Amino acid sequence: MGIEAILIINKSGGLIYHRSFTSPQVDPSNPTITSTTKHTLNSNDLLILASTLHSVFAISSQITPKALQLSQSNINYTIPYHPYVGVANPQTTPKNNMPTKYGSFKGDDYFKEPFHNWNKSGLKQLSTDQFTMYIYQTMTGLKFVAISSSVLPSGTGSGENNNNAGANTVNINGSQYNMGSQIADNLLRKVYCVYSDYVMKDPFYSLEMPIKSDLFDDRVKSLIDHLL
Amino acid sequence: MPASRIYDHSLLPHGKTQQEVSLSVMTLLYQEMIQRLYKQSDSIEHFQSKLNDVGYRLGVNVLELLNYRASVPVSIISKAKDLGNTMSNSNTVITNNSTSNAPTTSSNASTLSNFIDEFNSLGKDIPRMKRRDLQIIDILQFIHGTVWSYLFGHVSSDLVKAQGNETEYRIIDNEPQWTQFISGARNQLHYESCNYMLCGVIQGFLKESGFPCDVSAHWQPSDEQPQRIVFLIQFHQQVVAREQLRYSRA
Amino acid sequence: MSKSRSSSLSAHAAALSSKSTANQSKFFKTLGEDIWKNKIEKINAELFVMTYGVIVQQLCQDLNNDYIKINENLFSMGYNIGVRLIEDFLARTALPRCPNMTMTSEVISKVAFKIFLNITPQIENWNTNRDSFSIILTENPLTEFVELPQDAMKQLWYSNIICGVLKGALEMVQLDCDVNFMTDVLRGDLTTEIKIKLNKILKDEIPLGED
Repeated sequence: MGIEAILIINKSGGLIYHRSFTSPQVDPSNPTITSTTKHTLNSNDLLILASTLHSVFAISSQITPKALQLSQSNINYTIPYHPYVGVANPQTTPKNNMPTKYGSFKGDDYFKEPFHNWNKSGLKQLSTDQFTMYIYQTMTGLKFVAISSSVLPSGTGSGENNNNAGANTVNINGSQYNMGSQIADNLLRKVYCVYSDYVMKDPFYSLEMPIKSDLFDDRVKSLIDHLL
Repeated sequence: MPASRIYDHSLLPHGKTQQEVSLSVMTLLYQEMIQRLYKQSDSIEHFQSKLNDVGYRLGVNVLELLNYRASVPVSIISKAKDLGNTMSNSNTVITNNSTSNAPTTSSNASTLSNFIDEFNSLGKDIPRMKRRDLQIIDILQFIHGTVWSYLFGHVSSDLVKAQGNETEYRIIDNEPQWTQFISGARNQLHYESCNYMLCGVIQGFLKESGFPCDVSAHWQPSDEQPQRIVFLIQFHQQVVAREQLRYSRA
Repeated sequence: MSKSRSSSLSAHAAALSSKSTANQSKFFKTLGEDIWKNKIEKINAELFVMTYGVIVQQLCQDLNNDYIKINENLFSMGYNIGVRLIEDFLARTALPRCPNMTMTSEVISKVAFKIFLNITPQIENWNTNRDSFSIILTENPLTEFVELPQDAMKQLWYSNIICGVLKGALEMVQLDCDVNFMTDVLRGDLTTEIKIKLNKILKDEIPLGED
């Protein structure tokens, strides 16, 4: 799953982080690659995008028909764990290249168990024929957004990230979530983990304000790099 | 009120499992302390010296604790360790000194209490305190090895003597524990300043041991170690002069 | 491997819907212990304790031993930590919203205290509305090495930072609570007790999309 960009939106709908991973500035060593997001958004466009997403997210939660809400009370909002999304896989990585920990998270992955999805009725996924956008919302109202160039057929397990254990977990949970969405949720929860270390434990960060930390940048980029 | 046992209790080794808390609470407490001191300061130098002061107090405490623990005779340590191990095996916990009359005190904990009562005061059983280090290189080795291990669970990344300067030494930390989530590239001066707590610890430890000095922190990143910090220790001239008088054989 | 994953998947779902407090309690206990053991980077507790100690010392000096003010300062430091710590807690556990204070108390004691401080305090003294309870700190890592002078014993809540942390963290998940110390063994009391009382759920601030 190729990730074009990661966005973080605070609880009032303000854009506090944006990073694009395929624009020419990011990869000066290979100038033949042109941005796959055809139009580069300027910072003003991005702010509008963030607040629009914030609103659409809320509206989608409010237009869920009452009858549907009642009949679907037994939905399981648990997301299966996909091993080593965005981190080095110990089976394929030489031992001396394996990190022993990720910040304050011990072990070879940030978490290893299925987890609860707080986003039940808000916008989860938005797609065109060109890209898919995934949204992960925390209990404190932060939104982590990933824009992916892959267009995954929903309901099937045929994503690129087809490692053996991943295929298993899809069977467990049936076809309720598609593979792309599950991987995106796994990835975005890890961005949240990185945020909890490199943003929350930074004394020079003011809450709700834009994030300017190259350490945070590096860790997010490392997650994206390991996706391929 | 029962007689205080605090000085004995906390000074005994805790058996094989050292008490631990999460890195997260430590770094969260640290960043909050930094924020407060930063707001209270009118210049970056002021901030550095405030943070240094806090570290200095900590350094003095660490010095006393480590010296005291190193002075407890082996026979007492091994006896306490046995008790400590029994306790950690059975998953019970040493309760605080003044809770001894609380109903929750476990039987094993009271065994340790009895043990301490038996000795009445640990101080009496220490024939003499550990001799303090007298030479620069010895005390620096102690900081690089024992102090660092006590604080961070490993020795410091390196200890280097400056070439051509008798008064300067460097202790290097490739991954500073307290400031690992703070960016150096964004603002070098801010990042270096955040490490003055540990400068204070080193300074407090050295000064109270009779080695007056100044300590500063310098960000010297490498590709693998983006957070790498060098602690520059500059001994006052008198320290070097004393050492030359006493130890050099001309 | 996949078997354990599937069982923990169902355990996770079961705990959310379980009506049995005993089941929930057991689930959170296992969860907290598992996270503490496998997913937490740890440090020497004495270092943490001594660092907190010098912070309190510094406050005493800066505020001329005005213990009421020191209590307030410790609380506000805790509050600032709590609003940040909650993100660490949620990123690490991804636990669902608690439907009632009973479950909240279980999560605080068996998961939160466990994974940050490696202690599991007891929950007691529920009121009849079940919106107020006490946390009994049978052990308090902050107070190792600590003994208070006579004048401080009457007024200082040495560990008041914990109340601030709880206040800040709970507020971020839309629970407006009063949190304060009732007793402290450092003051000569038999127990160390923190009381939490829910004032109201900040419904307007619950993120849309959660229901």
